[in-house]
This record gives sequence, structure tokens and C-alpha cells, in this order.
Amino acid sequence: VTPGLANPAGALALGAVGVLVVLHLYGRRRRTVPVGTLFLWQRVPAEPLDRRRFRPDLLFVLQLGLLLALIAGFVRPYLEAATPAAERVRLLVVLDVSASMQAREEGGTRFELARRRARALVAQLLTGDEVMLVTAAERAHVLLAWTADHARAQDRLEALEPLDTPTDLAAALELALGERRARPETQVAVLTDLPPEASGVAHEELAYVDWVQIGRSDDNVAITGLSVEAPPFHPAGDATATVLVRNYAHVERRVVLEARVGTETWARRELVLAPRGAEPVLLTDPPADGELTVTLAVDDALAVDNRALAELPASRPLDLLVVSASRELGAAVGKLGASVAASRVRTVRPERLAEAEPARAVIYDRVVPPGPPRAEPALYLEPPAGNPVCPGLRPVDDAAVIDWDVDHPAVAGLDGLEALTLEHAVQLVTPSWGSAVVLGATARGAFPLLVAGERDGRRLACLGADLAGPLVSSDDVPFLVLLLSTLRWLEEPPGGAALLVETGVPALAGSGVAEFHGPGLQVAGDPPVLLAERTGLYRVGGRVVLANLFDDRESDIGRSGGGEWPATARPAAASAAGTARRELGWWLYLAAAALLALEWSAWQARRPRRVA
Amino acid sequence: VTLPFGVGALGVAYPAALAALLGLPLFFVGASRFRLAAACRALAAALVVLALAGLSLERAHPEAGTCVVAAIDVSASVGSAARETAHAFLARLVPALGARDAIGAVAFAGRTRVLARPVAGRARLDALVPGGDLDDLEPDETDLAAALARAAALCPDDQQAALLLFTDGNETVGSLLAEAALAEPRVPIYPVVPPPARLPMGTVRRLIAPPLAPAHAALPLEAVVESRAVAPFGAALAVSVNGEALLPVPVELPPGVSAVRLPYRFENAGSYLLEAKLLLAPDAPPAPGAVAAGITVTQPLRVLVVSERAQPVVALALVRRGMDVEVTAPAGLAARVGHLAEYHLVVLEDVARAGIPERALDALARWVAGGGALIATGGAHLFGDGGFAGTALERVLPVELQSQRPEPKEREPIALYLLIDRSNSMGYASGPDLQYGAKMEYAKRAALAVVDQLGPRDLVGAIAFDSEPYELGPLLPLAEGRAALTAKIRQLRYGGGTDFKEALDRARRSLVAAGRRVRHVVLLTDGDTNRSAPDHDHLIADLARDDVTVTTIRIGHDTVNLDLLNKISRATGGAFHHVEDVQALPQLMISDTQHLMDAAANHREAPPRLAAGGAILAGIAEDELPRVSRWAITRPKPGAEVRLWVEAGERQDPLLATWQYELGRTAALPIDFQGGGAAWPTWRGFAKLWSQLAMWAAPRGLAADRHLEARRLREGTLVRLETVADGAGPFVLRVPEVGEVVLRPTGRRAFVGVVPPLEAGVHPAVLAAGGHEEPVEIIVPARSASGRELRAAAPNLVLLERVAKLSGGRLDAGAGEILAARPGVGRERVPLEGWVVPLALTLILGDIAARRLAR
Repeated sequence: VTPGLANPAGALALGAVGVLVVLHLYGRRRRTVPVGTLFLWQRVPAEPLDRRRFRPDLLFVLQLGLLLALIAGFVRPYLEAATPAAERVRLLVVLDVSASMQAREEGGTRFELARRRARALVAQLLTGDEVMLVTAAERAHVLLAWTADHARAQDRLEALEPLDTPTDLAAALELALGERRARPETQVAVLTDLPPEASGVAHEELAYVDWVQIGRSDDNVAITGLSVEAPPFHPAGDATATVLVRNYAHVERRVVLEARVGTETWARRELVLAPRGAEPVLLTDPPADGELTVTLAVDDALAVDNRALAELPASRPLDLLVVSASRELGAAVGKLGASVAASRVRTVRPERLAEAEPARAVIYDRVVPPGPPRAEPALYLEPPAGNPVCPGLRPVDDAAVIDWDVDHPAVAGLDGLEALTLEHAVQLVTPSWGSAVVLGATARGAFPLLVAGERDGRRLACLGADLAGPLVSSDDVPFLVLLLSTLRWLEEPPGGAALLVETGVPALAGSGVAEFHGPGLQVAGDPPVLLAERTGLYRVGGRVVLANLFDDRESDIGRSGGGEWPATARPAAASAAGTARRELGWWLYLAAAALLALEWSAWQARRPRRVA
Repeated sequence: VTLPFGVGALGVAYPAALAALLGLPLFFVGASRFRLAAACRALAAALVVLALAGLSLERAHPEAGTCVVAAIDVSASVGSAARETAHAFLARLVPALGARDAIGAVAFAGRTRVLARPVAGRARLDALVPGGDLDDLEPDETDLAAALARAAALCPDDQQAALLLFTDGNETVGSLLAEAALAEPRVPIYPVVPPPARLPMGTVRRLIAPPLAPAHAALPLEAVVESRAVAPFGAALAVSVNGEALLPVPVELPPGVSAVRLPYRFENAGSYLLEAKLLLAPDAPPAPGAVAAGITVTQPLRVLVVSERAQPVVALALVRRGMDVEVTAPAGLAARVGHLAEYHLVVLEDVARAGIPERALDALARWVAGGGALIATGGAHLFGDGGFAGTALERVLPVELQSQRPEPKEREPIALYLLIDRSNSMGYASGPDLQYGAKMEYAKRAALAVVDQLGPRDLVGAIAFDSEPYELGPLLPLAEGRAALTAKIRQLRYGGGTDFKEALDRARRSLVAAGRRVRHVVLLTDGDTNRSAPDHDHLIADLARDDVTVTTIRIGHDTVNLDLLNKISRATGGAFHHVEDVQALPQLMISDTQHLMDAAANHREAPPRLAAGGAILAGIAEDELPRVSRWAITRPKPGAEVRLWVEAGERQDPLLATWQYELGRTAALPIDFQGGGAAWPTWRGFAKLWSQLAMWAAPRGLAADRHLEARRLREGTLVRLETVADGAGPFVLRVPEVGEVVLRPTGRRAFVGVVPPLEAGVHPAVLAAGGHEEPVEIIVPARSASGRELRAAAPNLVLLERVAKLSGGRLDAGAGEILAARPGVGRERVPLEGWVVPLALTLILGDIAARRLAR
């Protein structure tokens, strides 16, 4: 036990003791001596010598005790008990739980090997040592905060499973290094299949880290991409799918690719893949629409990337109501509908709109009907000025498309829109319910040409152009494609199309997806955000979610040997003793309080009383 | 107890100790003479009790301190604005940090880099704000989500974390909102948006260029630029081709988005990387980096013109526009139908059916259906030829051939005099393209062309003049005088001065004497006359009186005599032309003669009307189109687009009709440009019209053309090949540095392959397919951005506000708010015993002093 002072500067208050002594001396010099006769003055000269001698009395002693107790409390004395360094260890384990850790090695998967090492590290800890567990996948996750309960740590490790997501070691390492900065005695151990160079953290920072790299095998063939192209309003049989298969091994591999739509087999191909080679496979003429599952029949080290999912959208012929006073547009759209099998296109004049049967989408040609809107999604062409739905500024001549939002589903996948020119257009204004999807421009500047969004739960689009001409012009094939693409987006039933996501990549789930917390998938937040941690098919509130792992870094499992890199710099405070400090100041203040009262009482008792 | 002025709140650790304060009045019992001492004692006792109770001041700071991480956007759309804003903000924040507060920083764009890990104590500003080379952070993208994930992990668990996000909020990859929603624990985000004045005022959002284009053609290149300024301002557009900078193009940028045309012609075939960057004023924040577009330039458009004429004007127009034109007689078409795949376009120029074998027409139609391009032009000679009825040509054309209105068999003969300047100056070289004497040669060629246009009964005479007139041939019917006249014209030599008055008067007298109704003089001169202008007044009056029309043609760049010649033409009802390009002289004189003959045949000229012009007639106004006097009567087929038409009574006859014929395109122009449309070839827009028509009709490339583009991936280079024809492949790409890669089909005409990483720049390679190998160039751009980075018009405040609200932060918060302890977080307590105990000591001494001094 070591005593000490937390506020040694407080000892300056000892000056108060000197003041007390001076007060006592001053009081003695100024003492009044009442005498009855001048004769007695003869005795007075002998007394100054006597007064100069300091004679402490009880009051002085009590006052001194009071001051010293206060001053002693002020310097904050304490007793400190030191704990030997060897008795306390803090261990922070970072465990990679990404998809590549599922790779099979001799003696188990990489994850199993890593977990075994982690459990051994925890088992070596002594009573009182603390442990923290952090998992690293696409994000860092504190599996267990600092605890001395080693059995709990072992249980957590035992219950842990690897995910189907990519790896971002940097976030977990930053977290671990942040803890080490806050508690310098922390030892960090990282168990992963990645080398330190792939950590994304500066080399010098890793000097404090014990790095254990697990895994050697490069035996993996993976589906690294699956895309479906389905022309709008075409039969399901016109859809195509492209599968990209890659061999990550350094030897040639033979695999069998099988594609199934629902329960029907679509295609079965045998592929010979060169070492580190890739092979795109184009699949045509699907037997049906529905969920597409592509699998690789191959016995490789990593199975999670041997399957990919997509959706072949159901064939939905065009079902359109054209509200127009112009026969020209009706005829042109009708002709368009005739070219798409089983389509239904009806034209009504604006004044007879109320009698028209419902359709999946409505085109309003130069008209915005008054009154409550119909329930269908709607495309407004060349909307008139001053309407409340699609505000427009003015008509312009000689416009051309100059830019478009490639991410908007209404124009997704379209090329060549820059070739579009318009003799006449309407300069739109972006409404509050939507965003500008296609920008047009004249010599005087740019303006929104196509805006799209959702209003009161239904999809709307406004196009500042007259379509009758472009639909029959060979110059404007891209315009036709733009129209079809916009109509497809408008017609798409809410939640109808499957949501394709990649594991570990958060995605906005869109409207109609409720909060969901299930194994492998979680949906949270407002707007809802979706995160898949496992590949597969999920149904969330009526919406199908298809999660795939397409990540070159995860699938490229080959590692050059693996190995261990022990920390070259030990934790700075690992040898410092732990301490337990006990402050004594409060007791001294209590003593001072008691002396305060006691001294006052003593003074009261000794003070001469005035006799009445 | 909350103290005023935000000092904090007073609190005690042991409230029970405060009960001792109840005993304070006891100090005043029996101390009436020592009230001052009693008061001091009571106060001192109260302070000691407060010290016992653990009096402390609770401040707004969190107990364990705040861990602030500044995430600073260095992407292209922000430039240095976020850095400057961060510097200014952190300069205010850092002094406000407490002893336990820590601050760190990350810089981010497409990638994130930790600049400084959070440490307690006074931080250096220059360590927190990024500087130097940040290209490794991929400034062409913005990944706010990755920056959040990285920054949030920097703070230890026990400190209150706060993320200062200096950005414009325009993310191009990832989803900040999604990351913020899923992050655990949730880190409050305080976005700080750079003020608009610090953001780049303008940027190039994208470069619009066709992937495949022929050499020598004016390409429709456009740069989409955006200005964030409220008023137009001047800038320059710096364009480079394969790294070689072109002269910057000055541009006036209106507010918002606009497109700047960058007309450019590539001289040679090959692969090119175009890059464009905006240069702003030196004192303005610099514009973001360049945007790029790859383009494959193929050989110039190859055009086969089939004509019965040796030098069809259409061919000349296409040649002037840099196209590779081959002219053949109708009989030659048969020999070439097996090689039509080598041509982009075939033009049938006023050909009759008789010269073309049927199998050639069939082959031509098959070629068009497979993606070829055909333009048929001419008068009744082609469109009125009944021999084409039922042929493949009639099938592919966008118009139905009609029986033509018969031409009047007899035209009234005309009387024409040609007056040709043969002065010395006609021998001078008047431009860099003309050799010495070429001007005289063109004048002779023009005169001979005029003679060729006329009929045998027309009267023609010619006079050459210098300072004197020399008769080349008297006014005689052409049937009689043609041989002698043409011989004399061919022998014409230059020499002497210039005086045309005598020659003009002699021509007038001869024409009047001939007694024909249509009397015309074409006066061709290139210089000053020896006489003064008023000397000609009487002669002009005589010409006008005698109904002799005079067309004057002035050659040369200077302006001498322009007024006199113009006056002669106006007074006599003729035309005046100032010709700077002598190569246009023959066609001009043909046109003038045709006009004359039309007048003799009582033809009325009609103005062409513009319908759906589209790209073919882009930049051509209706009122600049020359009139037509004759055209072939046709009817557009259903589905054809009539782009030009002419009114003929109640009919509207097409002058230009086009359509898509299966995979190919065809056009019909029922005008003979050396007949009823003879004024067109001399119109400035003629070559433009034909080149735009050719570009519209021609396929993107020939079957052998390919477009190869490369894109850098994280772990390799993606090579994408686009072909023009179907059924090509499989392709093997041999790149010397990386070996051989098989490009696999991903679509009908698209092939891809991933090769090991290639450095940015040009990489020669070999593309092999079907036993044929061709050298190609792979241009790997330095960056392969998504193109979204520069598309944002303004900071995305909606996103930033949403993410701030979601995470518990606030947009544009102050330093105090960021450092303040949030609800549920233990606040910093400052013990007050340092004040309380010395004060108690002082009061005790005061009490003692009062008691002793009062005694």
C-alpha cells in the first residue's frame, strides 16, 4: 500500500497556520489591562516580555487542529494498492467471419480452424483477465464486450457461424486499435484468411497486432455474375440470362452449369475452365418465367458461390389506356400495341374518360383531367401549362436529350438516348413528388424532359414531348425504347419484381417492405434498409428478396501459404501495474467539521459572561 | 442547481451530508456580541459540509470526453471546398475541446484513408485536413457509406462519438442512409456543407460521342456542361485527344446544364480517348477533373455513286466532305454487287433502268435489307422510268414511282452570249489551292459546260475580252457553231487589260438582231475595268430596253467593280454572283443556264418546304433551301417519312423521303441536281445536306469494324468488344503484356473478357477471329468512374438532413452542440473543493480574528 497526495499543491494552504499564530500573538499584544490605581502601572513594564512569549491554549490547539484537518483533506491523501502486471491481461480477438472463411482446408473449414485458435487463446487467460470478441465481415461487430467471464466468451465463440458476406477487415481493426489506444495494455489477435497487406490498415499500426493467417487452398470455381435481360412487354421466352463463371484455381477445371426456372430445367452446360479463366454463358429461350437458380456442380473448397439466383419476370402484355383528342397518337400507340403480342391498347377522348375501363397504365396526351385522379399509374405527355400535376414552363423548339439518370429504373439499361432530338418539346419543372430522369437542352439551356416519381402511392411520369411523331419515325427508335421502358416502370406492380441484392451490401428496400429481423436478413430504418448476410431467397412482407454473393475477393480464396505475424511491439502499458486507490479526504473533512463545532463550543464555554 | 450563462449545474455526491446544514443556526446562539464571528463560522461550517457532500459543477461535456472524427470529402464534385470548410470549422472546434476529448480525421472519395486517429490533447490542424496527392482515393466517385463505416470504427467504445461529415452529400456508390440505419452503435452524424461559393462553379458532366464513327466526318460530339453560378460566365473547354491537347474552346456557360457542341473530324482511323475539362478563371475554385469518352474511328465513309454522268455533282459534294467516293457507270454496278459489304452507302444518281441488270438491283436490295444504305436521286430519268416498276429497287425505296407529266417536246430556243474575261489577272493564282492559270481553266470549263446544256436550236455566241473584245464565235444555232465555238473556247489564253463595255454592247446588238424572245448574256470577269462606272450607264439602259438579261459573275476576293456589275444585273433582270471559289464556277453557270431554259419553257420555280427534318436537315433552315423548277412526281409509301416537300397545285410532292427498310435505310430525292434542282449544288448547304444524309443512312460501320473499350476493375481490366455484324467471333485478344484472352459473347454483338490489370494508356494488341488477325489498340483510361460524380446539380441536402436526423445529429451544427453530452451520457463533473476549502479556511481565520480583536 502506497500513500500519496492527489493535490499536493493544496499544501500551500498551510500558510493559514501562520496567520493563526499571528492572530494569537496580535491578540496578546493588544490585550486590555484594567487597573484601579496608577500605582499599579509600576507593575506593567515587566509584562511585554511576558506577552512576547507564545503560550498556546486549548482554543489555539483546537483551531490549529481544525485548520490542519481542512488542509489535509484539501491535499487529497490516498492509499494505493498496486496489482502485479502478470496478473492482468486484456485480450481482444478479431475473428474473420466472411464467406471465404467457409473454404474447406485440411482439418476443417478456415473458420473452424480460426475458431479453434481463438478458443485456445481465451483458454489461456487467467482469472481476472478480460477478453473482448470482435467479428469482421462486411462490417465490424462487437460479439462480446470486455468481460472476465471466459466461459461466456467460449460459448459465444462456439455459437458463432461464418456469414456469406464480403470482408472489410479495416473497420474491425480500427475498432480494435481504438480500444488499444484507450486501454494501452490490450493485446490484439486477428484470425483471418487474408494477409496483413489486405487489411487496409497502415503497416506500422499492425506492429501491435498478432496476425494469424489461415488457409492455402485455391480450389474454387464460382458464379461471379448473373444478369437477366427481359425486353419490356415481350413474352417470357424472349428473356436471356448471362452467367459469368470463373475458375480461381491455378489448374484447369471442368464444371457443369445447370439453370432451373422454378422446377423446370432451362439449360445444362459442361464448361472447361482454363486456370484462372472466366467464361460468360449466354442462356436463351427460357422455358417459363419465375425464379432462376443457376448452380455449379463442382466439388470445390467453397460452396457458397456455386449458386446464384435471379428472376425471369413474368410476361405482362401492354395494357394501356390512351386519353387523347388526337387520332394520330391513338393510332401510333395502337400500332405499337399491335406489335406486342396480347397487348390491349384503348383510346378515349378526354371527355369520355369516366366511362373507360381500368387499365394497368394511362397515357394522358396534352391533358390533365380535373377532379380526383384515377387509380392507375399515369404518363402525361406534353402536359398543358398551369396544371397541378406536371408543372411546365414553356414550349421550346429544337431540343436534344443531353443527360439522363442511369440509376433510375424508368431508364435503366438504356443506351443511345443522346441521339434523341425533338423539334418541339415542353420545358418541364421538377415537381415535388418526383425527380428529373431525362434532361433535354436547347441553345438556351437544359430542362427536365422526363420526370418520374410517386404521388399518393401511385407512380407518375411526365414527358415534355409529343410522341406521335417519334413513334413512327425511324430516327427515333430510342424514343420508342424510352416510352416502353417508362411504361414498364409505371406498370410494375408494387413489390412485383424481386429485389436483387448482394450479401453484405445494404440496399434501400423500397416502399412496402416492413421491418424484418430473420436469420440471414434484416430490414430496419425509415426508409427501410435491407441487409442480407446469407445468400438465398427471402420473402419479406410479400416482396421477394434474392441475395447473391458476387465478390471476386471472397471467391478468390487462394492464399500464398498463410502464416503468423506476432506483434513486434508489445502493448506499452502491459508491464505497468494495475492500482486500487482509496481516497482519505472525506474523513478529514468530517474531522474538520467536528473540530469546527468543538472549538466554537470551547470558546463559548471559556468566554467571560456579562453579569447582569 | 443550474447556473446561469451555461456555466453548468451544481450537484453533490452525498446529499445526506447536507442535513448537517440544519445545525448552522446554533452558531448564532449566545453570540450576540460576536455576530460577525458567528456568521463567518456558520459560513465556514456550511462550506465544510458542502465539501463533505462532494459539491461539484456538472458541465455539458460528456464525462469520458467526446471522440470527434472529421470525414472530409475530396471527391471531384467538391474539389477543395470541403477541405477549406473543414479547416475553418476545425479551427473553431479544436480550441473548444476538453482534456478528455479526442479528434481524428479521414479523407474520402471513392476510397477512404485515415489521416489521424482520434487522440486526446491539442490536435494539429494540418494533420486533420488532407493535403497533397489524393488521387489514390478515386476522386471520380463518392462513397459516403464506406467513409461512415471507417470513421465510426475509430472511436473507442466508452467515448461519446460524433462524425463531422464535410461533404456535398452526392454519393455515387453505396448508400449512406443504409449504412447509417444499420450501423451499431449509431454514431451521430453532423453534416457540414461547403458554401456554394467554395464549390466549383462549373463542370463537364459528360462527353457525348458515338462509339464508332468514320474518319473525315464531322462528328456530333457534345460536352454536357453545368454551371452552378446564377449568371452566365465565360470559361474554356479544354479537349484532348489521346492525351494531345487541342486549342481550348471558349464557352459562355448559362446557369444550369447546357450542351456545348465540339465539332471534330478525325483524320485517321484508330482508337481515340477524348477527354474534356473545364478551365475556369484563376481566382475561382478549380473545376473537377476531366471526363472521358472512347471512340473508334473507322475508315472514311465509302460511297459508291452510280451515275451516267462523268462528274455527278453529288459525288463532288460528298468528296468535299471527306468521304471516299467511287463513281461508276450503271453497267459498273453489276461488277460491284459482290463487294457491296465494302461500302457504307450506294447512291443511284439519275440513272435509267436500261443500264442496270436485274440481278444487280436484287443484290442491291438484299444488301440494303441486311443493313446497307441506298439513296436514289434524280429526275424523271430515274423516277419516271417505267422499267423500274416491279423491281427490287422500287421495293426498297420509300416512295412509289409515278408516271411523270410529259415534258414539252419543243422549247422556245434561246439566244445566249458568253462574255469571258481573258485579262492577265485571269492567270494569277488567287488562293493557296489554285495553281497559276487555273482560274482561266475553270472559266473555260464553265463556258463549255454551258454549251453542253443547250439544245441544238439555241443561238450561242461568245466574246473574250481584255482591253479589246475578241469574238470567239458569232451568234449561231448551236448545231452549226458548236465545234468551232468549243474549239475557240478551249484555245483561250489570258493577257492584257480589262474592258467589257464594247464586248457587252456588241453582244446586245447581236442578240437584238437575232430576234429571239429570251436574250441573255453571261458576263464573267475577275477584275477592274479600264472605264469608270458612269461610262456604262447608257449601255445598261439600252440592255434593259432591249430585254437583254445579263448575269454578271465576278471572280475573286476583292470588291472592285462589284457595284457596277450588280447594277448591270439588277437593271437588266439578270443575276449577280460574287464567286470566291472558282471551282464552283461551272456549276454556277450551268445553274444560270438551266434557269434561263426553264424560263423559256415557262417552268415556275417552287420553294421546298421542310417537314420532319431530324438529323438529316439539322442546321438547315427552310428559307435557305434553293427553289426547284422541276422534280419527279412520287408518292411516299406508308411508313415513309417525308422530310422535304414541294407544293404542286393540290399535291404535296416529296423532295426528300426516307425510311427504314428492314435493317437498312433508304432515301429518295426526286430532283435532278443538274436539271430542275440545278441551283442546289451552288448553295452553301448542299454538301452539308448530303453529308448529313449520308451519315444518317450509313450503318454504324462496315461488317469488319469493331469498337474495343477497356475499363479498369479492382482486380483486372474488363475489355468489351462491340461488333457491327452479327455472327462474328469467337474472338481472341492477344495483349503482349498479359497473354491471350478469349472474349466471350454477352449479347448479339457484344463480347467481354477480363484481362490482368493493364496500366492506363494505349496498349497494342491483336484481335483474332476465324483465322484472321488484325492489330488493335486498347485504350485504358486512367480512371473508370461510373460517371455519376459530376452529375449533381447542387448539394444533396435532403440526404444529409435525413441521415443527420436518423443518426441523432444535425445539419450545420455548431461546435458546442457537437461536444455537448447527449441524453443518457454521463456528464463531466468538476469538483469544487478547490474553491470551497480555501474559502472555508479564510472564513475560519476571519472568525478567529473577529473574536480575538473584539476581546
